[in-house]
Amino acid sequence: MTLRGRTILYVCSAVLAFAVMMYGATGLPPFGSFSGAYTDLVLQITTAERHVYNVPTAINFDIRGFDTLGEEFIFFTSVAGVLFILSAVRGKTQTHPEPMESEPGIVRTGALRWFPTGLTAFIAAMAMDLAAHGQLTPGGGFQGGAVFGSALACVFLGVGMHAFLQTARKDLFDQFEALGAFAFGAVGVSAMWVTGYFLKNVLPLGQTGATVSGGTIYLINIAVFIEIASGFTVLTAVFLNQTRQTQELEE
Amino acid sequence: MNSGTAGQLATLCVALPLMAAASLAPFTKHAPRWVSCTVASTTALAVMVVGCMLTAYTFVHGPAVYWMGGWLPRHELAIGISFSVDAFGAALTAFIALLVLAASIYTWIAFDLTGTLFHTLLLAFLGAMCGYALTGDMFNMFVWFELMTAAAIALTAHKIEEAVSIEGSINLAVTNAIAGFVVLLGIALLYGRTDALNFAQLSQVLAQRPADALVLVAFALIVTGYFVKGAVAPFHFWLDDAHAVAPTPICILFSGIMVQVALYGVARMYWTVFAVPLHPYTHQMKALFLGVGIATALVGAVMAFAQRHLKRLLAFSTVSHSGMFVAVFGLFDASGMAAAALFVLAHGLVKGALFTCAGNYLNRFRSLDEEVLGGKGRQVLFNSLLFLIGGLALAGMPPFAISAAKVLYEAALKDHGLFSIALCMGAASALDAGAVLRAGLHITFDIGKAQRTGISPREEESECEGDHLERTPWTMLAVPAMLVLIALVLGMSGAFRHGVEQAARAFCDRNAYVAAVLHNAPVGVPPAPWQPRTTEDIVFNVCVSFAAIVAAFMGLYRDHIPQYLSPVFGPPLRALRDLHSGIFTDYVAYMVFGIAAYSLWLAMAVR
Amino acid sequence: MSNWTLYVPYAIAFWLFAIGCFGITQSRSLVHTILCLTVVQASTYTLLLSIDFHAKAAAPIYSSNYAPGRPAVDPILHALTLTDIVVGATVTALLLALTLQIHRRKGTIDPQRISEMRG
Repeated sequence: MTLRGRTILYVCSAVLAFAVMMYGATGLPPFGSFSGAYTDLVLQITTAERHVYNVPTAINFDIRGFDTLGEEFIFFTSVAGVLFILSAVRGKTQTHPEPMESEPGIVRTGALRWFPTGLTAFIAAMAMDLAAHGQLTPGGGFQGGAVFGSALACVFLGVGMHAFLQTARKDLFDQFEALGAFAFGAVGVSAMWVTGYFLKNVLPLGQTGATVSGGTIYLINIAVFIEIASGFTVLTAVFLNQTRQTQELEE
Repeated sequence: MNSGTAGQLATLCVALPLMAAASLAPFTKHAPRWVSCTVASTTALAVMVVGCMLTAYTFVHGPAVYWMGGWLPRHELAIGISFSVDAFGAALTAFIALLVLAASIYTWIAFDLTGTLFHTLLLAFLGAMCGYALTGDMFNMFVWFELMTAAAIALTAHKIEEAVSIEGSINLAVTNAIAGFVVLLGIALLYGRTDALNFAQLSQVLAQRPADALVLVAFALIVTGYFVKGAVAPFHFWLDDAHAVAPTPICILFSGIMVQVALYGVARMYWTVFAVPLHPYTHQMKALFLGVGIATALVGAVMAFAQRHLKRLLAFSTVSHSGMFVAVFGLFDASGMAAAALFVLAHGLVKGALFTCAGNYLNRFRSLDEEVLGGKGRQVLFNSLLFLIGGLALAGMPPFAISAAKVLYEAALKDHGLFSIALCMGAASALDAGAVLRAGLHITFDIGKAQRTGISPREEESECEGDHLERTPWTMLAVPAMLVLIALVLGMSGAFRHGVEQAARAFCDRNAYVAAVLHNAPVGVPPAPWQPRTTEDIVFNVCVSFAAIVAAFMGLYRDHIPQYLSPVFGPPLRALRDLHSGIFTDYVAYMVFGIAAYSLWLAMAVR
Repeated sequence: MSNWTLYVPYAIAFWLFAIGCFGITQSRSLVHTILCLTVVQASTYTLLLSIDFHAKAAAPIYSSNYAPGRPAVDPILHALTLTDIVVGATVTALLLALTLQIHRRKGTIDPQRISEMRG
């Protein structure tokens, strides 16, 4: 199809689709007035029966924890998928050479070197803080994990790709990632073994506002943190490795 | 077994494959081949056994409802996520696991694996499809839908050395990702109205008044989203690109069940959530589903006949069958549902067998081109014979299971006074199966002339270790033989067909579903009347099979057909082929066109 | 409809969907396609969160200063949005990996020029 034909078809359809969707949206409550029984019930029981302040965390890891299990495995599968797609060593043809153990000749000195490296420690600490208080303040395993992944990226900024790939050992973090995903499932199955309900919150809930509270919410939170942090590290390492290979190919 | 145990077992159908996937992943390069093969096969086998047990239990005792995290409904308000296992969902789980088992047996010997990652992805795919089949929650369904997509994207790109594999995978990724977002927009609209995500809860809220624009638009969005994965026109374009390049075991799953699982999602959602509020619009919905169904069936069949690349041919045949499933489901009653379910099952078995046979040609001769393979089929005679039998079974030749399904849908269509639809579907079937038989006859006996239209590289990489196979290992032949055999046994069993009819009645019973989920009160379903198959129906099926054979020979000896017909068929066929451009930018434009058309059609019905 | 401005947020969500898809249909680079996909995805967050907003309620995160029981917006939509974000990130990662590979095979990432599957 020509660009022109496609544009005309798309614009006409999109105008219609937009109009119909807006027609449907007129049935929604006006902006700022949504409320319902499910909302109220959930707000009430999470604090009363799960002893946590951060209600979305309680929903993610307890009330609708099963969704999060699926979501964890979407992440896990994608990391496995990226490794699968990028491991071109498979098969007969190999279009690029194996990565060499050399470092492109960029040497950073002074502040350029030490500032990002120092930042690593700070960001990593912040990530763990975010994850550890997931049931109390905004944050949690996902957010902490994503921030932690960027902390290791600072090593790359500061001391270069070679050092980064040394720190972010792909195979090691790959195993941590699988461990995190497995642990989530294991918590669910253990709860089912004990109480008969998958992912039921069986541990003592602790006091509302305490650093360790919420029962299995806290455990799952940590499992998710491990998985997401290692997953992002693996992704960064794999993609940087690819960049290096491409550079070498071009040289 | 009681209801609680049934729910726990159903949960394990999802948790077990996922945990097995996670436990395989760390050993990417270190585990020997047999470890990952064993883990994958035993997990699939276990899920299949559990699925069969659940089917038997729910068939007798009605739906088993299980609340994740022990969050039982309070004041008839669903809090957590429920698994609502009924006979259809459980049977679908067992069938998914059977095909995954077949796929993993195919990988036992000689198949080229990358460490354990292939099986990790396969197991995640299994868990996702089981979750999708068993869940009773709208958003949870979306989550499993996305997990399916993520695994499918990676698995399609297995032959990463070839650019077409990557291209097929990209087309799948872009279209299916947008499909997921469209579904989520629909869910958000529904949530904004009902403040509910559980199917039974949504059903209860929406049943309070007839559907308005919001409900219809939300329904249209969710249906179009699932139809993208279900390959219904005009959303089917990604399918032939992806299925033509995916590795053989994954083709079994894509064509055999993934597409149909997405359509099952539409059926599940309609019968639980929308059956009551959309009842006043049944007429418009019937017109829509029958219309797009027949259009898809014919487009797929014509395109299948015009292909020379075996996997692409089979992929278009899947598109065509997808249309037939939608058309049969579009009767919106229990008899249509029963026919569609049996059809999906039978088609999955036969299509899985056909794809495996095609894969065996690829691994032996490094080509899937009808012309290149011409005459070589005699070297792998058993495989070729299975391919031809599969072609006949696809046409609906008794006593294979597709024939039994066709008897059901022809009866249902006749009841609705829509026999013309049955004729259209017969024509589509004959073209599909005719294409398969044409290719099979040319490959095996080297008669006539091979198809020349359609794209096909003359030589491809094989999927096995080494350059190509000198001998096809027994596992790669056992898989199609097993699948055809199961199709044969199921087709001959009248009791099985009757069981499907009864399960379909339970599936379509919205009140029983809501009562079971929210009020914990299972309701028995009265048994369906026993209808013996009539000779008339079987005669029709034999006619369709005969027409398929005629079509095959017409394809082979088309030079002897008078040429004055070619100006009539040539230009439309060329236009149709131009639409399948292989570029996702076009596909996205068609998708948005489809979304606009579907939702406009439904929204215009609002009174 | 009493006050049409209260429906503008929903319109923005659908607009993002339409303009993101428009970007994909015009795309001449796979990286551009991936970015457009994130725009399409943004439409889902926008819709979820604009349904969620309530004029007289706070975020559903309590503390010793904002005691449990006081009005808060729907937390479930927040949880759904969080899930949605992860979904989007993963599709991006997979597509980027595919883009890298297609660039190696073909030397281009223009979708119009990589196609071999016509018909």
